Amino acid sequence: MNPTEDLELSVSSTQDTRLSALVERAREGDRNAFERLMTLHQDEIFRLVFFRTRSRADSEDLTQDIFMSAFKYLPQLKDSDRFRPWLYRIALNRVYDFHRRNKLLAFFGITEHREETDTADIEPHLNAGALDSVIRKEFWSHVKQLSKRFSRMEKEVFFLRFIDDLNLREIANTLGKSESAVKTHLYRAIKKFKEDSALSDFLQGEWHGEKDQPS
Amino acid sequence: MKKISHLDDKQIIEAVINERGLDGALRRHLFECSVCRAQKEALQAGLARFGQISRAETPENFRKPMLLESAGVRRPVWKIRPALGLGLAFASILVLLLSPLTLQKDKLYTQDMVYREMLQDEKFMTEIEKLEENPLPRFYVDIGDPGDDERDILGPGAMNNDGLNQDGGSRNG
Repeated sequence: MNPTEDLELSVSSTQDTRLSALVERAREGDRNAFERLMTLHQDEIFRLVFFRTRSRADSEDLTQDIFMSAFKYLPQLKDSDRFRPWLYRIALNRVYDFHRRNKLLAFFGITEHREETDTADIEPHLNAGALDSVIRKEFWSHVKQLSKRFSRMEKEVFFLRFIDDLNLREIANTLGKSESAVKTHLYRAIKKFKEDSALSDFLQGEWHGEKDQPS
Repeated sequence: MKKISHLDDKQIIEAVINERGLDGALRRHLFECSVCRAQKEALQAGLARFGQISRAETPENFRKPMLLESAGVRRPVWKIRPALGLGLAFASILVLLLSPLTLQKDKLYTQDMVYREMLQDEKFMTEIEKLEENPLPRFYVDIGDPGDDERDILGPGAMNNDGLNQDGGSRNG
């Protein structure tokens, strides 16, 4: 192991220890500690929800709901080191509930069920960078096509790994699967991703296009 | 030493998932072979780009979650107050012990036993009282203790074989 990796591991270990200490305090009902945890994780949870609902308003409500549930049930978390996967699991369950409820309401004609659309339900935002509306639409269209080829578990594992940036162990803990099962699903998903030449071309074009841009 | 050809698609994907999981020889080859390394890096770059665009699509200025004043942790009852927990545990045990289901059998058994014992006691007392208040009547005492006259009548002499023979003789005669 080189010194850089050693240093990274050491930093990561220190962060984990601090996180565990915060979780322990929050479990005892310390609101400040939980607010700190919320600040640390709110962006990634919102992103997880937003990518799966594609609605800003719904994602905001669900994110609020997820953290309230987490605070309420935190004393039941046995291992404070598993806070992140535990939080992700709550978030995923909330998203599934949201889709189930929408489907049910749509079935009774109370609301209109929105299947995965080609574009996200967001106003043009500043952090979109070079992605103009055409490119964004194309990207979401590719995501939709790719998602159709995935099984539910392949999709979940793939998104958790490459969008939510979880490692294999965290994915396994979040989904309640073994690491080898996660690897198998991930292998199949990457194979399908690799075979999607249209998406590869799009990403390559985007990749080069962005690299060519003057900074 | 075994000569390894280039990594196939499966091995490239496995290297992307977890390079350390690869066989030692394959890892060495991947380290040394620029062709295989380029394939792996291209795939990794594509996946990274996919994640990057997805993340860029997420709005930054969203409404941040807040910890509401009314929010509270839900602790299991036994963790709220240790004394309350102990009290509850004791009360549960007491309720269990005194429950009709637990007591019914013993209770029936006890009642039955007491009732029988009472009857026996009563009977015994009645006998004692009778013996105290009503001694054996004289008539029965007389039967129980025959007098001298009766003793003579029933004496062995009166019941001997001769008597019978005489009687029989007179009948026959």
